[in-house]
Amino acid sequence: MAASAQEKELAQLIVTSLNLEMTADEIEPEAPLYGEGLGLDSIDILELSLAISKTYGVQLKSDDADNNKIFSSLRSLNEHIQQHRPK
Amino acid sequence: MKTFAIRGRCAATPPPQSWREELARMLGARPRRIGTWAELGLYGALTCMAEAGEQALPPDAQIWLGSERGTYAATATVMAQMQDDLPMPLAFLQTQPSQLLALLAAQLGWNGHACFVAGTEPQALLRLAAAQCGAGGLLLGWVDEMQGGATNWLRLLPGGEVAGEGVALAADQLFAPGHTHVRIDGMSLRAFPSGAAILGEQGAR
Amino acid sequence: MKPVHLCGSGLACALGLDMKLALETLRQGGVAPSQITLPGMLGGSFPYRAIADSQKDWNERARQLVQRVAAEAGAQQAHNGVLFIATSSFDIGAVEQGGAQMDYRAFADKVATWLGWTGPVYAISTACTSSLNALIAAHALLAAGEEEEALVLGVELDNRMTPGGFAALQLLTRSDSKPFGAQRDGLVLGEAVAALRLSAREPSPWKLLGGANVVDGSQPTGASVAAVANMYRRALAASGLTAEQIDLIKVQAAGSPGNDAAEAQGLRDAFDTVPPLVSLKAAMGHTMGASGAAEIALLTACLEHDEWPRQEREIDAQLHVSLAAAAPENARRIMATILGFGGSHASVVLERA
Repeated sequence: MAASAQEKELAQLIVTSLNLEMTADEIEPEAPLYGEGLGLDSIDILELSLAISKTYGVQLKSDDADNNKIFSSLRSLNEHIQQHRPK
Repeated sequence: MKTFAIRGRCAATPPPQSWREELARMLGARPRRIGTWAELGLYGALTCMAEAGEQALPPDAQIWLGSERGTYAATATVMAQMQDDLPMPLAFLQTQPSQLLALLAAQLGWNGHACFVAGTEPQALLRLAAAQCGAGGLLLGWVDEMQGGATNWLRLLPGGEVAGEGVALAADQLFAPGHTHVRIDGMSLRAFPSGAAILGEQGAR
Repeated sequence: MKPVHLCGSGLACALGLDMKLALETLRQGGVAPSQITLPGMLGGSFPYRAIADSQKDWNERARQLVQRVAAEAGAQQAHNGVLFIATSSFDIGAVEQGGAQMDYRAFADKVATWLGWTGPVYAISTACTSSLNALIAAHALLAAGEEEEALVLGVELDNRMTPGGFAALQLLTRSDSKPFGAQRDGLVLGEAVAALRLSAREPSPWKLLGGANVVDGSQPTGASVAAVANMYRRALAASGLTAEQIDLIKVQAAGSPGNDAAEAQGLRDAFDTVPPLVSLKAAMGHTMGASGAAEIALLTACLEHDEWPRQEREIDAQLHVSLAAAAPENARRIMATILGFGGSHASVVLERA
């Protein structure tokens, strides 16, 4: 399934805030963000967490037990953000 | 009093126009999450190591780094970010000059003693480094991003046979080409110019 | 190599404005932390171990604290010697108030002027290990006979940038610091100004035998197990001691989930039998660049005056280490360790006559 408009917006935030050498379109919606895949590490996730809190008002904690699931892909991260976004 | 042989050097005030491309080539990728000051430091240190013909630092070598203004720019960025929110984590880490020491350690595949001395003079940096230096020698650097940038490094090994007393060396000339050995005595620097009055390895034999 | 003696110490921290007050506070079971409020969604209120001094002007407050602490350490006897200033935040608090430029040399000159210092001045900044690296550098100069007197001055005073950065890295707890604790969930930061006076000519019951610092670039913000073990081995070698000769180790154990575990494992790798351990982080907070000097000042005073900071009771059983509930008897050879950002792992060795 192709990336939705929301997912594209989030992909752009990831590329910009982490200074990645790729375009937002190149982030596969279902590919893992951690390790293999985008190759992000724990410091990147902290950086991204703060960027997301500023942009979407959603708090992501580094010690959240669900982090592996939340950050498993662009799609799951976007779903988490949309669910927890202040209405 | 300690005398050092200069095995590698990077004297770049300012660095060449292509330094960022050169750094990306040496690292295999463009660094994406460090600031200009740390990038300049990496560029100079890796250039110096390449000139010395060394891929990795020996475990008993030490890295000593000095700077006049250091992470000034990163600090200003973080202070601006702090106006209405927390700073970005990577921006905050960049305010700590010791991050460059860790980057160098990782890049050189090395674990060992490294230290940052803030705002002093190059000869004072060498003095402190010399007092702790072991057989593995020093990777000694001076990095600033103000006024066009500067990244100056020496790979120094202790000892080396030199004849005579050398010539007095101004602190800002420590990294400049033209001498093969340098001596630190208290706070005074002496240089032993290439060619003249040096026994070197051949002479020692 | 000349012997290097620790001849005087001074301390201002959350426990009190001088050592006598700090020991008195410890005797009463410690003090509750104050609070710091940070902006943003991940900000809010965090415990903070501030020095109880109401002066609002950063420069004036720093001047008074630095002069007071240096005098307590007997700094006037070392003015012609070498001054090491150890800090991770310099005078950022003054910059935030518009009372300074971000300029290393101007900061070092300012502190030297406050002290009427006439000898050489060096500012060491290696994040949390700054004071220990300053001690190692001072030891080298004195042992080689290049200098006879040194003062290591750790300065870490109120600013918004440091707690802000730690909060952004999600390293801070909102409750309290639990060194090696089963429920540990982060650090509590603190302020300190601490001074250690070293001399190669004046006798003292305390000797600084040496130390080691190991930078490992694999973990930008945390400790590495291999580097912790390597650091202990190097520090022992530098001081001419074996692991069995160590009577007490002051650990980092700031209460961070990952770092405390790496530290405990590194200790167990370096020592077949881990010596008695003590952490001062719960009592005074993590005072970053000042912490090495501040914790050595407090620890040596505790041993001299028979005081002991209350230690975490609910230790994480998975770490297989413990904290000493009371001072070990006749503790003579003591290591003091700080781990920090930039993959820096440092320890120094002290010997009591």
